[in-house]
Amino acid sequence: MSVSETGFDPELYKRFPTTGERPPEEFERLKRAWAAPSGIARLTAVNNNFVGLWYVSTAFLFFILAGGLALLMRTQLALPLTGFLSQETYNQVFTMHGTVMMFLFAVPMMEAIGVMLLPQMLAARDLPFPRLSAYAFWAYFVGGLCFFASIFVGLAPDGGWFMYPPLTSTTFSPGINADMWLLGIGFIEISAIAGAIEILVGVLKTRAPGMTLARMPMFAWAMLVFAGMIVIAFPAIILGTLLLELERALNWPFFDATRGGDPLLWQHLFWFFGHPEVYIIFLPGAGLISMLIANLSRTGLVGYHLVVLALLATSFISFGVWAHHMFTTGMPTLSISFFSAASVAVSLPAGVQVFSWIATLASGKPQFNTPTLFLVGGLVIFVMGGLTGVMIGLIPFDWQVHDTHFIVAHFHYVLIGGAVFPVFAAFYYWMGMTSRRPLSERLGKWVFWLMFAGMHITFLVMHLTGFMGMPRRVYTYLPNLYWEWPNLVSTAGAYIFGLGILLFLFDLARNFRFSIDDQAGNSYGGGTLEWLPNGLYNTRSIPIVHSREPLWDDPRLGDDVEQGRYFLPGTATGLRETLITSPLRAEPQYVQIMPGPSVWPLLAAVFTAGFFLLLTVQAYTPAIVCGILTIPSVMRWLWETDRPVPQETVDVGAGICLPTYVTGPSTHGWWAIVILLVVLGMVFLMEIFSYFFLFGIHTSYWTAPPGFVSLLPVLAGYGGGAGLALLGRHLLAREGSTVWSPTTQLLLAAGAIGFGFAVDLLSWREHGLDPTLSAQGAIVYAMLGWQGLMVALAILMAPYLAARTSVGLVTRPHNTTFDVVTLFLLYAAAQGAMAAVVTRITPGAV
Amino acid sequence: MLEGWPPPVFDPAGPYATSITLLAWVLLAMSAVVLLVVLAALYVALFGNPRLRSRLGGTAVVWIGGIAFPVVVLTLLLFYGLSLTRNLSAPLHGDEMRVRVTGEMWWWRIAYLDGGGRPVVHDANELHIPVGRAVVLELESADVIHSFWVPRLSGKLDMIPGRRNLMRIQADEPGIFGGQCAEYCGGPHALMGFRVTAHRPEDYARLMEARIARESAVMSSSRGARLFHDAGCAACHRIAGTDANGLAGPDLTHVGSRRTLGAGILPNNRGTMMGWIGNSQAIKPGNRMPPYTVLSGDDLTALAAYLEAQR
Amino acid sequence: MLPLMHLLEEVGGRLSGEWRVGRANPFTQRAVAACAGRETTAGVTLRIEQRRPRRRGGFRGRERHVRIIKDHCPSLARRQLAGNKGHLLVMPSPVRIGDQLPLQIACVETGQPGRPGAVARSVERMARKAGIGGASHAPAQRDQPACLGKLIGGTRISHGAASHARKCAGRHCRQQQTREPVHASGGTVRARPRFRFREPFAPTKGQGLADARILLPLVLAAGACVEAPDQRQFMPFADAARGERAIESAGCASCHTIDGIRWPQGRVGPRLQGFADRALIAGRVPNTPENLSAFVRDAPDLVPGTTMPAMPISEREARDIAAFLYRTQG
Repeated sequence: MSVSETGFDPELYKRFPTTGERPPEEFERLKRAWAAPSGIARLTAVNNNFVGLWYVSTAFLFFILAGGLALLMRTQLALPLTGFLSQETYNQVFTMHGTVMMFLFAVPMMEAIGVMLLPQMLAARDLPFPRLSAYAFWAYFVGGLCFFASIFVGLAPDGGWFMYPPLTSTTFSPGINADMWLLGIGFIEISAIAGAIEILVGVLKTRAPGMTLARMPMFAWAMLVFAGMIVIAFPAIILGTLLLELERALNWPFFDATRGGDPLLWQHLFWFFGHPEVYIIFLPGAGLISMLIANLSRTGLVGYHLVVLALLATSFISFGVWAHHMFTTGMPTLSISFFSAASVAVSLPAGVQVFSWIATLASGKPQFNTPTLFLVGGLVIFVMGGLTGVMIGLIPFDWQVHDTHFIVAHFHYVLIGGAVFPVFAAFYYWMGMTSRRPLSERLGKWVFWLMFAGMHITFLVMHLTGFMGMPRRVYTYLPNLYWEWPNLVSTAGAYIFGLGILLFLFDLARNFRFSIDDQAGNSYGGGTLEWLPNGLYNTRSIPIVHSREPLWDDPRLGDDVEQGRYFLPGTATGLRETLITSPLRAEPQYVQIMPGPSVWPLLAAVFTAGFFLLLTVQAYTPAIVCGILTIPSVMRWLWETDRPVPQETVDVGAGICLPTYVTGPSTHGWWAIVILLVVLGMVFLMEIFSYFFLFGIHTSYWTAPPGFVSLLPVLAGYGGGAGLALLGRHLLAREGSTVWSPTTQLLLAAGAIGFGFAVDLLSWREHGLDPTLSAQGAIVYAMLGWQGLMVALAILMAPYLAARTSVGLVTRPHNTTFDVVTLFLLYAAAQGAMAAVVTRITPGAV
Repeated sequence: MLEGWPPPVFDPAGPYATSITLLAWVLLAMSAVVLLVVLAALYVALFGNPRLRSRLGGTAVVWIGGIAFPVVVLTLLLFYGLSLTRNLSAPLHGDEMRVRVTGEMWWWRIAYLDGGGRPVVHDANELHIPVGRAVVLELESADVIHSFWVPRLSGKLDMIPGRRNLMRIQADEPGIFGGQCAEYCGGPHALMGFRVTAHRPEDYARLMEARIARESAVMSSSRGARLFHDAGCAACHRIAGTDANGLAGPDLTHVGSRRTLGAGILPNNRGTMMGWIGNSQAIKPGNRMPPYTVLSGDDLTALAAYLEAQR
Repeated sequence: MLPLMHLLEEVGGRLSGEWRVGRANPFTQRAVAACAGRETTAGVTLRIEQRRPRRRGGFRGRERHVRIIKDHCPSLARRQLAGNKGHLLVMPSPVRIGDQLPLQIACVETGQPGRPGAVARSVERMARKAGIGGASHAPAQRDQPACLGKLIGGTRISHGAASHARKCAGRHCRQQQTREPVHASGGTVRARPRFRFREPFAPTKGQGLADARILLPLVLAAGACVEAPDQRQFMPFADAARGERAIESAGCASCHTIDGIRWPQGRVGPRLQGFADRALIAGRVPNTPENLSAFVRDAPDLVPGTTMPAMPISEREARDIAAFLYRTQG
């Protein structure tokens, strides 16, 4: 333990647990700082105990709603040619089922469980950006419910959850249904990314001291990988939805083959997101299984390191398998062979995890309580889904079963086994953390067996239905193809599954009583930190972690923590705060001052949702009003953050002093902005991919770009902007300059970037490229548009910084907000320059 | 025996489907074996005696079960799968018989091509092929993405606007093979079926000969033909040798000889023809043909009789 | 004395709405032929069918035609209860109609199994004999199956083995009452309302149909037949379930929305429902099973000028379809 990451002396850990009484008022101060607003103001709460619970409940609500849609579909398909649902309704229902399950249940549910549990699991007071979680939740809540409501008025999207153009283009889907999907889902992805940033920074920066990466609960590992994958994968779908919406709204032909576009571009973009998406859903589920199976068997996870490697390998490989959804599109044999190999290879890490779970069960003392049943059942289901996954990884077999009910069966096995069952296990296991009473074990077993049996009855026979030739997404089928009986069996199974869920809801209604300080507690004997005694402030003091299951190894830990014998036993500044630690070894670095309840994230979320949803229904004026209102809401919410406190350093216990205000690469704020820039950069990278893809497909539609001479003023503008930003940052650190000067540099930098962009835009306009005439025009203007968005943000940020400077909020020599703005300006300049170059290097057709 | 067994995927009727069926059986067997191994391990882990359980409860199991065993099995399978892929997508000789099949919302346009790639016979929704000979299908789409799939003859291949995918099918025995659009294409996607009929080579030659002759024949005017023109049918449908040359809907030159109407969904007889003409929206909701409620009963009868005669 | 008529197919249930198929013995043949003023032909099978209501001589009666079928019918498929009221039909299969006699039959009585039959008399003759007024009441018991047949004609026929046969068959009948019918054709029983069904003479497995023949006392009552409240069509050899499949394979529903057929629901022709209560087919011909069967198969032949085309279905499918149509709900 002599190695140190940050210079923190590990010997200092030996001072804990401290002895001696804590001051009596200390605990009261802590409680006061973390007190939640009551009454209607409770909605402004940002604490993860509330937001997490709302988040989980909303995600579960969407599970129920989308499950109801599934029952409607199964009812329709019970018999051939029934008229239970009309064609239009059925097409909307299956689209909504897939969309809601993927975007409004699965990903948010995992994020929600993370928001709810991670701070407790890592013994942080809260996630590092509580207001961002609140924003993510409210945006999801408002947007999700409005989106779902579209099915009641017949405006729900009907293009299938992967929305393949040209079926979803205005030619073939003239209604606003497709816009509902593109704007509604595009917007919910923003919420998912916000949550992912939160989780990434939370896991890396707010772990309890001593909780090295190798001591993290497996769920935290899974969430880390999960969030990382969201950051890489979601930009692809954001760009995809953006392009398709541009095609629909402005007639820019990205996917229109008659004007040089290509429908396959969408498929690449969608599946570059879509396949990792499946692992994004599965990995947290796998993390839950790993963590729970070890805890419920009262033993450590066998092969912890291998499982961690498996998680990382899965995430890595999953970005190389997207085209296995496109084996039937006629791609060249060589490329699909590569994807086939990768698809088969991705089952290896899954196999590692499965055998690790089995070995863990064998080495421990498993008890047959409800969560264990759900875990073991989920394992079996997942293995079956994985095996069919290997089958369809082989190209010729996929040619037969692709887009049939075999596939439907396959992914329901994977997702129900890999995500739904673990989530139910988690519900049972952690119910004692938020509810006064645990759920009924007896009913729970019924719930499990009904769900398990219903699952198999529904989907096992569906493999055969697929072999029989029944394609997916058919609203009905003709009789005399022998499809009647397997469909009837599936329908019966679906109702049995539904019965299980109904029973669970009944149990929930009977036993779930929310509580902050009178919970049922650790009824399954878990050994991780979330079972420490806790309140809204989470733990009274932040313990030092020496192993993966500290509660098992140190039975006195709970008491010591509750008595304040560890880090940060109260509130040092009287504000909300948490301990920021280093990413690898979790050594204490500084005390983060956290924002408290605020209505602004809620308002910002409502306005953002309003902006997107009103755009969907083509109410442009209210939409723009909402969009404009979003900006001050976000600024107002940020305005209260990043404020230095009088105490530059505080005693966090045992005489250890940590700073309260830090800037630079070790801070949570810096990590967050870098991750955000990675997201933006990924969108841009996907644009470059789209650019070259379209160029390669229909080169004949391309015209020569403006000459390289036009690049000079553009590059000058961007280069000047970047230089000015760096100069400003440099001046800030120099005590000699006046307080206005650095900010002025940044204002000028934003202006220069704007100039570069304007010149670039004008050069294309003069060149006469029309975005509606060819795919080249469309993609060039899309890149310009994206750059324009960055420029607009830069131009909003610089005055915001100026305003902060004017009231003296920009501290010297270092300031986080200043750093954030500088980084963003640098990024915007770099992206703009790159866009300008890339769009000019492809020649026109001869 | 199970009703509907063997399902089409396991009941191949041509060489391309047969090799996939074999692969499917191998994969099913592999899955069954692996599943049994996992279930057995799980059983031992949960209920086995302590000695067995302790042997199972170590990292070695993860290495063997999770890495070594799958690597071997998956490598073998992958080689099998990839070599089969290569075989199935081997380059064309260039002298195969070619048929262009174009996916349309929600039917199939079929054109038999001559050696120079020019269409010589036009048809829709029903494909005729000779037995024992590979037929290359040029799959295209006129609107959205469709997918051509005859499970007993071959795997599926998408029809993508702006692209042309080539697919080989072959039947070893005469017969009728059903298929259905496999890629969701909106609206009545569920009712977009078709038939492939495999004929003995001599029958096939006769059929094609007759059809080629029919393509260039000039038809005399009749009441049905006049009606076909006056009612506006000719704007969307083509009948060779008449002034009906619309291209929006299926070619009706040989409609009388088809087994089905409405893209593989209705039997073809005069009654169903009248029902389809009169109000096809009641049969296949959302299809592109408007209901012809203006026709009198006599007109309807005459039209149906006329179409019935187009063989 | 020989029985007048062999019942080849006993339908059970109430007689008046059903059809009987019988093979007349020479006596019956003679009686019927005499009434009709024709020569007796050999191998006659009777098919008795009610045609249409007719007002005659001050009371409402129904004209029933007896068709003399010249062919011997070797085997019989199972009969089918059809939903149409007002039919009384006796029909063998295969059918070859030799002649049609406009014979007025008032009613047919069920008889006790094995009982020597009654006489066949025309309404005119019976009415003459009864002095008309008394002919207006139908036997009270006629809806009771297997009840004692009343010999209205006054000619008592005795038969040596009758009493023994009656005992046996009566017992047989009771045993069979609760049994599921055995269907010689293997057709499904789904479409048949079970509560209306009673099959005293169902052939058991291994038994030829011939063994199931019993004697039917055919009584021609003098006077009008008052229509029973729930008379239904009965098509002896048609199977509504088969009819449903035939409708699907022929595509009838591409023009008609047919009650009980989920898809398609064509809107070119009229909606087909409640056929049991319909008086006319295509507004032109009487709604008899025979007409309906003929109409669905070759409409222009029966009703020249109709838009409905001839359909590519067999006679048997046509009958099945007719039977299905009679099932449709109003």
